[in-house]
Amino acid sequence: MNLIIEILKSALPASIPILLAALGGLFTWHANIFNISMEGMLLTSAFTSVVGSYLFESWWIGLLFGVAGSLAVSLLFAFFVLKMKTGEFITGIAINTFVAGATTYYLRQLFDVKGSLMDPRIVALPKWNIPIVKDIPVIGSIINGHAFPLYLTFFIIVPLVYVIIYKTPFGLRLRACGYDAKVIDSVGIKAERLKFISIMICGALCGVGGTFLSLGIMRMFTENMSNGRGWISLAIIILSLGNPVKVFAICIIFGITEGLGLTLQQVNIPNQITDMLPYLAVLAALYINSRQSKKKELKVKN
Amino acid sequence: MKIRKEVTVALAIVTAIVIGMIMLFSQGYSSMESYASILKYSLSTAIGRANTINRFVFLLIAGSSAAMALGAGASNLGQFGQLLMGAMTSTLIGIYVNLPSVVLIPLMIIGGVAAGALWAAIAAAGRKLFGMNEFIITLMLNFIADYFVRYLISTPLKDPGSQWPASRVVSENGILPAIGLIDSVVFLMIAVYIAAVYFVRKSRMGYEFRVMGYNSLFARVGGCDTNKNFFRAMLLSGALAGLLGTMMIVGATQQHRVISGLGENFANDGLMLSIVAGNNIGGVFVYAILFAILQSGATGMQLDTGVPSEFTTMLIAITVLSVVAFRSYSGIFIDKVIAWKKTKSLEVEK
Repeated sequence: MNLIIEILKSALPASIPILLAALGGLFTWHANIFNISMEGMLLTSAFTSVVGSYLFESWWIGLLFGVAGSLAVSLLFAFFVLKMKTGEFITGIAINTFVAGATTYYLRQLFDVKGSLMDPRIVALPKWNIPIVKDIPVIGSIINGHAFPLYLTFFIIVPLVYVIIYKTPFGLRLRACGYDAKVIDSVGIKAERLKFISIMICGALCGVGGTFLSLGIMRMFTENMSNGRGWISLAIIILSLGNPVKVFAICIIFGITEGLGLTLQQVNIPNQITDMLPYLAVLAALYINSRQSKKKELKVKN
Repeated sequence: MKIRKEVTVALAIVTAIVIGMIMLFSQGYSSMESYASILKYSLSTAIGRANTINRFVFLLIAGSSAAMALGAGASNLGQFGQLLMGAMTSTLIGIYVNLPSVVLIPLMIIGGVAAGALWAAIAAAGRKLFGMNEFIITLMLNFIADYFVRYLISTPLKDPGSQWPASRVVSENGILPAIGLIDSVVFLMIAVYIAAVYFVRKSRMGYEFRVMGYNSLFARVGGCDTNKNFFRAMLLSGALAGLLGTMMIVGATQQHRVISGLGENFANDGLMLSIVAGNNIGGVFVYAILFAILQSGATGMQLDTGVPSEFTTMLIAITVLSVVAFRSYSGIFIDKVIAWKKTKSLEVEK
């Protein structure tokens, strides 16, 4: 019983960076941009937020720096993809490489350390105690006491993303723009601008996600900290076909596999094996998804 | 009106170098000195040149591996995992099989190549049998291979004498000697590269690969078996990556064992090389020279001017972005000039 509580308790925060990156990626997915720079955005904001938190010893400047760093990366992505018309895939790969080099470079340049940065000056995101919920026996110990963006994400950002994409004129235009950009242009709305906005929203959400990674779950920065989370979020978007509610559900499942990994390490299973779990889970999910779509095809044929 | 390809590429590289200079300058380094020390350490000494050549050849194969798949429209991003599995398999053969060099080294190469191809085949089969996205499978297999190999070299296969996670060193029979300062694997890999270029440019299957890369539907309508070719391209790409991993064990200047972080940068560099060369194996050659010079001079630059060697990673990424941007923007730019000229001539007529 304790084990399950512990798994679920670590699952919730573990799912947040992936969830925020996937929600951001939804906007670009609906705008028909093959955005793979989420990885770079997460890594950048994980780094810049630690820098901000270190310099000013305050978590909210850290958060501000994190979002700003991620927005800078998305500006770069938007500039190359929308203005210079480079391929999205190429640009994403190059930007991810650039970010991996740049974060390591500046880690050595600013703090003179290699590997990871831990310092008492880094202030973590504050953890929230929820008055009534914390006294409920099992649920309270799972839900209570996480860094605050977790609650904002679950209860505000996820519903908001759903409403924006499916219930607002902006969302309608965005989806139409993804369907056929020329149509949108012909009714007098600039498709380029919609695409630009979607990339920037993606940057902002990834910024919060990266900050949560370095200041919410941990209180440190390590080289290549995002460790494929951007790629996992891309896989989740493809699996969910752009539905925010599905994204939310799948992300929780991934959080659980990650939490499961962390907990299994305590019962003497080597950590390299448990670290594989989220990636294996992606493959399993892809497999199940493709089986289901095949079944549907068969039904249609029959 | 047409701008020559070489001109745009040269302009793009110059732009990237200037951006790098500005970055160095803003950090308070002497940019000319840093660039000079890159060139000094990579090209002026005999050891430096040997280093550069070794690096260049490894990059060449990494780039060919990526270009083999991407050029045929198969998104194999799993070079890293395939390389690791190749290196691990050949190391295991090299440790546990006791045979004279003449047999052992070919056996290691075959094992490594097969392991790389098999690791790629998982992804290809996932796509073929279940319609899964090979792009994501190969990526996930990278992480799985990475953790798997880390597990092997830190617990069951760990060298008891080593402080860090590392496998044992392969037996002496499993190491190809160096010729002077240059690895003899260099010649083997160049031969493989030439064969790969010849295959893609001259053979029928290579032609089909290229057509598939441009337009898969056209290739299928034109009568080539795109499913089969997709599988073949993935396997060949994986085999090249596996070969690369094996060479990291067999080569005289290498470590002859799997250590954590082996080949980490080669995989990503291979992808970037392929992309910047427009997924054309022949085009990888020139960019591999550039990458090799930058990378082999990086540590020298760090010694001389104190610029962290990661600067070259950033510079390479900037170069790739710049080349790609110049390539795509030159077409738009020409269109704009033509449109401007036309409006001008219309105004004159009025």
